[in-house]
Parts: sequence; C-alpha cells; structure tokens
Amino acid sequence: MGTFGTFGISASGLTAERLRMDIIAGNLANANTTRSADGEPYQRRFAVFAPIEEPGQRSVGRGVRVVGIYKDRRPPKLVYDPNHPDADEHGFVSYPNVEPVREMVDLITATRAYEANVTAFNAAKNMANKALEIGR
Amino acid sequence: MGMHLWGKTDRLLAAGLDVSARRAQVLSHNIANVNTPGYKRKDIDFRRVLQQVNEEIERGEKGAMEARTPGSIAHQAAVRNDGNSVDVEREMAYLAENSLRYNSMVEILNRRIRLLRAAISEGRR
Repeated sequence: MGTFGTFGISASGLTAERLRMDIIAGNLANANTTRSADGEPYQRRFAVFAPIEEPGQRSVGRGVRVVGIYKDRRPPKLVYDPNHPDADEHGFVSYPNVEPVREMVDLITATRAYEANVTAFNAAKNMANKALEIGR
Repeated sequence: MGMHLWGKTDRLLAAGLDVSARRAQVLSHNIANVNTPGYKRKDIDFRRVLQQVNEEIERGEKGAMEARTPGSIAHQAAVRNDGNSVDVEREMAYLAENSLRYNSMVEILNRRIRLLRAAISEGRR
C-alpha cells in the first residue's frame, strides 16, 4: 500500500467527520421540530465511529468508518404552551432533546478533526511528490 | 568479493523510505480516529525498525528492500474521558517530523545517484 494507502485513510477520516457535521446540522435545523414523520418530537442523532483495522498489534490500520447513526434516547424537553397544536392534555409541548450548545461544541470538534485529516493528506501528498524526484 | 551498484547505505535508505511511508500511514490512521471512542494510538519506532533492517543487511540477508510490516506500538499515554489516546498536536508534530525525514532521505538518495551517474559517465556530464 505504501504512500498511496495513506490517502485512503485520510479520506475515510474526512468522510466520517463530514458526516458528523451533516448530522449536527440536521440536529440544529430540527432543534424546534415538535412533529417528525412518526408524530413524535425530533430526537437528536449522533454517529458512532470505529477504526478499520485487522486484529493484532502489528496491523497498520486503514482509517475510520461510521458504524451507524443512532437516536438519542433522552427524554424530550417539556414546555408549557396550551395553545400549541402538539400540546398534550396537560398543556405541555414536547420539544426535541437537542442542546444547541452541545451541538456547537461537537461542530467545532468535527471541524478541527476535518482540518487535521486535510493536513495528514497534504503531508502524504508532499511525500509522494518528493518520491517522484528520486533519481532526477 | 563482488561489485555492487547499490551499497549498504542505498539499501538502508530505501528501507528507511519504506518505513517512513508506513509510519505516515499509521499517523494518518491515528488522526482519522481522533473522535473514535476507545481508540488507542499506534506508532512505528523508526529507529528500532531500521536497526533491525541494518542487522539483516549485516547478516547478508536481502529482505531489506522489499516491503516490510513493522510492528505498531500501541501507546498508553494520556487517555481522554472517552478512552481515546490520540493527541492531535502530537500527531501533527510526528507527521511533520516524519515528512521531513522522508524528504531528507530522498535528498540523500538523489545525491548518491548523482555520484553514481558521475562515475558511470567517467566524470563527464
């Protein structure tokens, strides 16, 4: 695999972090969605990552993959608003369990991780270019 | 004693390039898994692996030039709350160091090839 395997590894990191950003954007966009397709309030979603590697200490590793996207099972936020069409019999509206501050922090983490993968990609690219100079 | 176009140094340099390229792969793997809970960082001890290659060359084995799979070291350094031991700053520093080492080895190899070329053309350009 050598130098070219590194590109795939960094690309897997870029894809994973990009997906995380997509999910965070979806959470923020639906921070006030009280009625999703199943009639329930929107539930916060999050991605779960796992490394791609063969078992054993000697494996080099081939990047990261997204195992799945899961729904946050924490209870919704209840807001008293009897006039809301989605209010229950006690006048409470269930709002999504999305916390914008937490999402913003996750967004920053994903952005920084994305940039780190870009740097690793560029380092591999520079090395491959340098290898082309051998014997010139 | 036979005459060899490629000496011990050239073979060591080639092996060094190989190990360095593989280390870039391991470091990229660490960076790709910076947000994977429970992931433990890996690394290749450049000096140790090259020492092994050197010993093989000393013993007259030819294995140094072909692709090797050096062992990864699973470091148990400072672990974050989620059980991940990747520190982006450290990975970046290692990545820069590794690239620099790779580039310098290419540079040295090039100079040796230039010397060889000079010898082949009997000093003429």
